[in-house]
Amino acid sequence: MKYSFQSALAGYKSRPEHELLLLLARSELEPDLRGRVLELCGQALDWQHLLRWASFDRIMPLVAHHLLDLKPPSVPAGFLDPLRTLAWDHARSALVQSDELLRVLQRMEEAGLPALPFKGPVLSDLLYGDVSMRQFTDLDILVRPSDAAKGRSLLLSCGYRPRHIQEGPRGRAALRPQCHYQLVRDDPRVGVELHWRVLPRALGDGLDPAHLVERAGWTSLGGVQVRMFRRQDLPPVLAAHCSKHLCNCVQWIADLAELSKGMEEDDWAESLAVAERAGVRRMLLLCLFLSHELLATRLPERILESARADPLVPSLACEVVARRLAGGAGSVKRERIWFYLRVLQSGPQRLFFLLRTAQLLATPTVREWDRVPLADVWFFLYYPIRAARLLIKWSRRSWTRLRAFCLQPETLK
Amino acid sequence: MTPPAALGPNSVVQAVPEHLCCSPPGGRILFHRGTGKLFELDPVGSRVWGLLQDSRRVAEIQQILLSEYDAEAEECGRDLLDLLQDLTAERLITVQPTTGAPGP
Repeated sequence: MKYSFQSALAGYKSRPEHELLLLLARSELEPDLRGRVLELCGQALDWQHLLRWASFDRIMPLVAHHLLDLKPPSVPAGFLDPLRTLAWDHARSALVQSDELLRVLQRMEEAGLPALPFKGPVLSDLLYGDVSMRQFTDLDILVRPSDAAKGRSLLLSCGYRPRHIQEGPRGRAALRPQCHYQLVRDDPRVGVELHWRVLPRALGDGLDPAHLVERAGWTSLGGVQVRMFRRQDLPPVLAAHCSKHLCNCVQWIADLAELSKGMEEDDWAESLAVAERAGVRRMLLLCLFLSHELLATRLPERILESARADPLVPSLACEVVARRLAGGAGSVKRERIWFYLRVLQSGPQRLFFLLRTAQLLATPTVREWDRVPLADVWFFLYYPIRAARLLIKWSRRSWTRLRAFCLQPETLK
Repeated sequence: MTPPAALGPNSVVQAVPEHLCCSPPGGRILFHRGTGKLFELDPVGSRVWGLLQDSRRVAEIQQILLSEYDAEAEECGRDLLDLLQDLTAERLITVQPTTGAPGP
């Protein structure tokens, strides 16, 4: 990245829709921010663009909450009405999912499986004071790795079924890069992701779920006591999740901003220590830096100094903003790998990540077994089949590029 | 199941604890965990629900509403009783029988 973070941010904010979204991504609008929101709403905005990004950034409930509260006269009714409908639909769904979460957590507790609700309605209630203020589509639950299989069986007995194949050699191969089971029910509003790690193994095992569960406290949802991460553990956990997704969504940055309101200097020191031990310190610094720069989150100067002094945090932040400016979600595999390599903080972590990535690259996927149906006993044959498929794919791609390169001078002539 | 006590100005009403609620723009949605039913409230209904978080007499709620909204006492009382009856039917509030104490 050849340009500075500040110029990337200025470029991003030069589009008023983007600045407006960043202002709305918070639970409370202070008077000066309200003024700026009204000012921006008075400009000729592309409301559909705003809605698309609000949804992509998973901050639609916050956008709806503020805009329908302020009701700026310049906002067209054709935008506010669908926004209201979206917000109410999400709220209904959030309540149904919250109820289901409480039911599942109760069953798990009864079975002796301590489980931590991870993101979703509990975090929404904790950070925003309302289960519907955070956009979510399924229920994430973290259990100790030793409890994952039991937890999955329990959910299957509660009427859930695997979303993708999870058994036999195909299931083991499909789950290798994952850190959760995806389970669904017939009711399309309800789905569970049962996590046994915060991050995929390739990105490190430092945030040990067993410790996180052991240290967890309690919070109340709908009058029911549920386990919740210790406040000081939440920033590294949220930052790790945000970094896993290349910091693409403003929601995760906004979560950290809301969380920071209740954090004291000592809490931050402890969070940084947890992150350091878990090998996710750079992830935490990156997310906090983004939170400060994008949402003006107040953070201790010591943290901001550490983020600015880090050799990679400013350039990673610059990349995140530049990616948003380009309108991309960063799904290209090599872009992900390059991001992960830099956000990991130590040499051994990077080496492990590369080895693990190579191992996953060699692991057969649904593409192989869909094309060549084989019985489980012949599963090992999928390894050479995958190698051959990738070789052909890359050869074709290289040949196309080479031909385009060779033909280019003729075209120019 | 015991039939709910009849609602009157001196009835004491309160929200049941076993519910979930959230506040989408311009209203509130309640979810009764026992029945699995959703119940939607407009802004005035949301205000009433806020008041129901503590145990109160119906007449007291009506007085508060009259002080906050521009409404006729009779119409306000009728609408309030309608809402409280709906909430009772959905088992979202408990009604304690009239104590006999006169309203303010």
